[in-house]
Amino acid sequence: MHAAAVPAAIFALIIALMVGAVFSTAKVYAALVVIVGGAGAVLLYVVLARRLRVSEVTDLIGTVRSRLRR
Amino acid sequence: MSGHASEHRFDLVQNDFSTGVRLGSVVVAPAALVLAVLGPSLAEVLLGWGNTSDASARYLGLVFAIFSLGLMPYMLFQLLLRVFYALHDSKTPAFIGVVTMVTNVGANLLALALFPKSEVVAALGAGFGLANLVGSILAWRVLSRRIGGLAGIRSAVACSGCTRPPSQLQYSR
Repeated sequence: MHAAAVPAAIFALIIALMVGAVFSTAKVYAALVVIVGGAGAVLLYVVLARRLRVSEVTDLIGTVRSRLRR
Repeated sequence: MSGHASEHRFDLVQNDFSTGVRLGSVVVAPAALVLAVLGPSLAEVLLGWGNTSDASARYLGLVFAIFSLGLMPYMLFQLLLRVFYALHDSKTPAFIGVVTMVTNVGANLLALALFPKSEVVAALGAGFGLANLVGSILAWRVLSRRIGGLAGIRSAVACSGCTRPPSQLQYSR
């Protein structure tokens, strides 16, 4: 699962650097980095963890899904 | 874990600990890394309002990011302490806590001496992480000797599939 977490963090870092190069307004830049970088990193982590067959992630997603369905 | 410890089934205590580390790491490992990257931006969005300038908010975020990197050793340390408590031993964690505290104080004093005033708070975050790392290593060594190992590096790296999944552990009780 650590192997899945590293690319997610790298993705967030790339987004932070890319958005920083495009936007000069600090607040807009920060909000974009948090939304795009955060959501993308979480998504990438989940996808990679499932590809790497990290059973704990699948268990956790299953638990959350079953709670939401109630 | 307490039930297994009271029955002196240390192999199951090892599995309980390993399961705890792996389940905790599912959330803590990515959260620590991503928050370490996004910390300054997150703080700017959440805290950079009113009297707090953007620069101050970003510095708060930097401190938050450094503290985030210490989440993994902190989680590991807290889980290790629970194993001691499950073994009805509260004395050893107290001694380990003293060593951890001394390390933290030492690291903080070092940070005060080495870093400029503007970076001291961020350095304190690193000291906190270091203290928890020292506490984790110490607690791990003591526990490993007491219960004959802690599933070794498999637990530490939260390796999925290296130990039995939680669903199988339920049937082994």
